[in-house]
Amino acid sequence: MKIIAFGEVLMRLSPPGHTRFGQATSFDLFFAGAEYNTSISLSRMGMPVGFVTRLPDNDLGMAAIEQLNRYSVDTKNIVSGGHRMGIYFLEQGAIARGSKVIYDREHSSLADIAPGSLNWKSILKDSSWFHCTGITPALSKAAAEETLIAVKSAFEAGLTVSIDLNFRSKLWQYGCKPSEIMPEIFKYCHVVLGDKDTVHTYFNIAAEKTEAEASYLEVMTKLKEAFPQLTDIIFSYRNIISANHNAIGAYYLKNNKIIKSKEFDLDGIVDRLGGGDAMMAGIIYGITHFSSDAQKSINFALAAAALKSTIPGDTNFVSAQEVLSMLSGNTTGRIDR
Amino acid sequence: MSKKVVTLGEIMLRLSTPDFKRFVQADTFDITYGGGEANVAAALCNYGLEGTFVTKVPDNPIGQSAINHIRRYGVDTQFIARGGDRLGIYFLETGASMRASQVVYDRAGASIADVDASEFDFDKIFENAVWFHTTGITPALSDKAAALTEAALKAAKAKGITTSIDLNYRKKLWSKEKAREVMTRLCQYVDVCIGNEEDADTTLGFKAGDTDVTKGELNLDGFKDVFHQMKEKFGFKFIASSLRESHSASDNGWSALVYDGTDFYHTKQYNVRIVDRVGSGDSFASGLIYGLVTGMPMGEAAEFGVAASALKHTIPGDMNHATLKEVKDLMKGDGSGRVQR
Repeated sequence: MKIIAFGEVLMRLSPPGHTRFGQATSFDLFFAGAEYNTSISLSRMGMPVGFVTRLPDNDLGMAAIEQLNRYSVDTKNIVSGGHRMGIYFLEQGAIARGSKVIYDREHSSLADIAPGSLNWKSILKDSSWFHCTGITPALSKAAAEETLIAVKSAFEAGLTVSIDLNFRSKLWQYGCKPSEIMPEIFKYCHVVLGDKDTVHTYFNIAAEKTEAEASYLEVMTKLKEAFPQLTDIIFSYRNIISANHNAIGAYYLKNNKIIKSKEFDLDGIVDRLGGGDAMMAGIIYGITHFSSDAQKSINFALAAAALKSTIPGDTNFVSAQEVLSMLSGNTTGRIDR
Repeated sequence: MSKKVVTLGEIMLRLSTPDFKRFVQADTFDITYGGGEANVAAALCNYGLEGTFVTKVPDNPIGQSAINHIRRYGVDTQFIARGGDRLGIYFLETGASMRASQVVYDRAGASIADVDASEFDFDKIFENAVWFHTTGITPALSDKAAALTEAALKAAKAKGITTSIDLNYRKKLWSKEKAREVMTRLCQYVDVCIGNEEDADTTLGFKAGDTDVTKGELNLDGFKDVFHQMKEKFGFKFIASSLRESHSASDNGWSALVYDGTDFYHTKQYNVRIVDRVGSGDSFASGLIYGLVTGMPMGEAAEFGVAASALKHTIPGDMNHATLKEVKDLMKGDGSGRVQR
């Protein structure tokens, strides 16, 4: 049961602790990126994962590969080329001060890829799951084309294809709207993590109902009608009480039934980034391990995301056992001896 | 009133691995900001002159942090334009002993590369200025940045301001051919040219005798020959070069040669053990400029420059924070490094 994920590795540079950009004399260095985070999280949960991207042929690209190696993610299909690694600067907010992100990722090696240059047939051989997100198609025309080639190859080879819609309004700077690109890619996906607003932006599907829960159900049902190949639709939500106090939950459509996940109250968030990527890893793990128990499956995904909020960096370093333990009610945070 | 010197160029975010770590080992990067011309402006302020730095940075907290960094050292930042996409970055892994330092540039698409001369009011910028300094790095960034450099040099000359350029050839930024074409054009507006033999060859096409930089040995006659050719072609008032003998990544011999068209002067040579060599050329340029601006004879100005940059080698970061008194004491021969009480 091997998973292949495709996307961009970013270098995340954060002022330490809660210092502001203007105060910082050093940056903490993390590698990040939605698919990268999901890959490492899955590997940490014990699933074999291969990561596919394009990185510059310099010491920074090598540092990113070594980081993936460190967590047992297969890096043999990473190609080398292009000029630079994408960067994002993150200032961690607190209480009423929101976190601040500055993207510096134009002309990254992946954005400048030559479409068709990856040999998907060989990459996907012996794998049963392919994962990507809506971030890669937002980078450049070329990256969008490569994503389409990838999902199509995976779909035709009989893999399960998952996508995290992940709308990034600051990207999409290359002259195409998401609604011109995403529907074609989405035709080859089975499992989707998204939300109402993104589905509206990408597929022009909106709710007529105004009440929150009813509108979720309506959009999810319409999405399934428009894209009948979908097998699992997950819509997550996040209620923001303050920068370090959120509540998260999700709705899950499977087999024509919509269920609601357990809701998690996250008070005292250590690092809010990467929660969705952790949830995605939990979804893939849940579907492949608890296929007969949809409720357990979605609760597992939310519990994984909840644990992520306690870990610095973008990546969820938790084992499946820890997630299950939390699900079984162990949320006291007492020292586990 | 102290004398005003204007510099123009790029300031970059420098991210370096701490404690001699290799890139693949790093979990943090130390942050500083630097760039040839910004370093010169900061050093001149440090010696008591008025340094004004002109550049363009993105209108975001990273650009603002770069401005704040140089303002801290007293540099006048009022003419800095804001806009464009990003601040250039360079990653530095500091070498030691036989392991050379590694630099990874990530500066394409920087705000200063996407610039127009109309964003700057040179009349105002050069008001009361006595000196203008830039380097061969700025025109290498883009055609727009080259046009800006030319506009600034012309405006300075028109006001009768002394101009200097540090040739600073960067092979990762442009080809030899392009560098020669642009720099030959720019050098007609230059009074004081700073550059080593390699720069003179690559950017201006002056061939020296037989110096091999990888061997780390000096050939003064080769330099003199090149300086003479440069003087003939461009009529520079002064030509200067710092001279590095690389014994290893940690230990270098360091001196300078200067020429006014009549006489050559070779300074004393310092043996420097390197803490941080990035910015040492800029510290020589700023020392030389300080000497010439304050009326020192050529030889003394070169001695000041080389002593200043010998001290820079001991200071982390791109900028020279050695004080005027420290430089003067070193010139007088106190190189003992004993604790000053």
